[in-house]
Amino acid sequence: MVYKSNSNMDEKEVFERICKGDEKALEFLYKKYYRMMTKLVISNSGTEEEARDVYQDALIVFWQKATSGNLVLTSKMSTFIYSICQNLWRKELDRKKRLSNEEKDSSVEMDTETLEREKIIAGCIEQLGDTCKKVLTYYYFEEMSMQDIADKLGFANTDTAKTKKYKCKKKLDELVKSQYSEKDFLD
Amino acid sequence: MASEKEFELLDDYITNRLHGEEKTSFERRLEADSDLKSEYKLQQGLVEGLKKARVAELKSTLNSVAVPSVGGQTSLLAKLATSLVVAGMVGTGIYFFFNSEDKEKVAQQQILKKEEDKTKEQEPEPIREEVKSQPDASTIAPAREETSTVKKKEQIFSQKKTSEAIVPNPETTEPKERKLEVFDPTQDAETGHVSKETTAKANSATVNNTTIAVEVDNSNKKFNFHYQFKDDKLLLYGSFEKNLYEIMEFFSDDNKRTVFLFYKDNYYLLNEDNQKIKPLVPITDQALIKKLKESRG
Repeated sequence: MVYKSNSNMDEKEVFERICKGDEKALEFLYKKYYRMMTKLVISNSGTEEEARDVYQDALIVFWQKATSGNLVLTSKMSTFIYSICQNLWRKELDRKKRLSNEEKDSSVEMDTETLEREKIIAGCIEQLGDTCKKVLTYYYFEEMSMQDIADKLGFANTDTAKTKKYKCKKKLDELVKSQYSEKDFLD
Repeated sequence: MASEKEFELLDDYITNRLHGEEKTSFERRLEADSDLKSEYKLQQGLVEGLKKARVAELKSTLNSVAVPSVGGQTSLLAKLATSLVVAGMVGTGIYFFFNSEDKEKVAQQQILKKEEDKTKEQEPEPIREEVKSQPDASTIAPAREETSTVKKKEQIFSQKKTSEAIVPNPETTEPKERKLEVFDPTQDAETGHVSKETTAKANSATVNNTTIAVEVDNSNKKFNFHYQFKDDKLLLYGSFEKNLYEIMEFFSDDNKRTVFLFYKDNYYLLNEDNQKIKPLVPITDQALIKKLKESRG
């Protein structure tokens, strides 16, 4: 009798695919550890919704670290993700506790102008074309290398990726600035 | 901020790509130049916005992934179907035995499941008793088959319990070469047609806990006794929830999966080759039926 997993995609392969920004591999991982990770929160006085939220956030932290090439894995992926879940949930519990003690969370209140600016930026990002959006998010969030961005988006080489990134950022910059000046946000 | 070079320099600073002298000299300029400083704040806002947008996008991607039901996301019907599957497969006696609060034993069995070399003698007592209390199976099946039955029951059970009692401890160090248990739907396409060889396959194959999400659709008039593999899920068309059904998964040594359905005394092969809706046709091969019966115990 041999205990078999239901896939022959091994830990190393999944991790490598994630490092390359393969979202399908992320989805596999998400599904694979869903029960295990949500259980952690649910059994520590969390709701299922909170559990899902924490797990997703933890997985995204892991994803970001992996895609940026800043992660040298010394344990199993599940161990790493589990510890992120633990930390995030501990923080959330602390925050809840503070909230109930102080009645009101005074520290995180943002002024309306900041919120307004954020809204404008989000709107402008939406206006970008699909490729622009991808280039920029891969560069700024995933922190992928120009080579990986070029590979993923089918650009001829890293120079193309660099130029694209510059142009797209400039475009976003212009969009936001034109909206800011309408609102008199530019000083 | 006119020049491309300046724009890129600021960008590199924001994304932490400046180091050493380059970084300190840029910081000095930033302190002295208020225009540069306000530009810096604006660019930082853009980068933050992009990051937020990406997180939201990833979250919505994850939200659309069908996850194993812990409750919540899947429909009540799907949950009902799942519990029926478990109840049907495990048999009432074992089901109630394990449904007790004896979590320690449960956890132990989870470990047992993973320990490949466990001999029959080391199996937990209550399970063996349960098997023995059944109509004397050992006279029909050779001893080896009995072991496999016992194993299978444990595993099916552990599938059910995972949502309640077992959090596999990720701290447990496992051999590094251990395969990651990730379900890869792309492997499905490789699953071969079942021929008479299946008999042999079912014999040598390892029985694993069912990981297939099952949904029942009894509203379709055209398809009233059909099945379909779609997006990692098994859809059964027909009034299945009224009766117990079982999903049986077999993994051969080369990791190929073969799936069978047991329903109302008949066995059905579930072909995963494509996502088409296919009619359920009972298996007639007596030798195969016998093997499947033995596997169910």
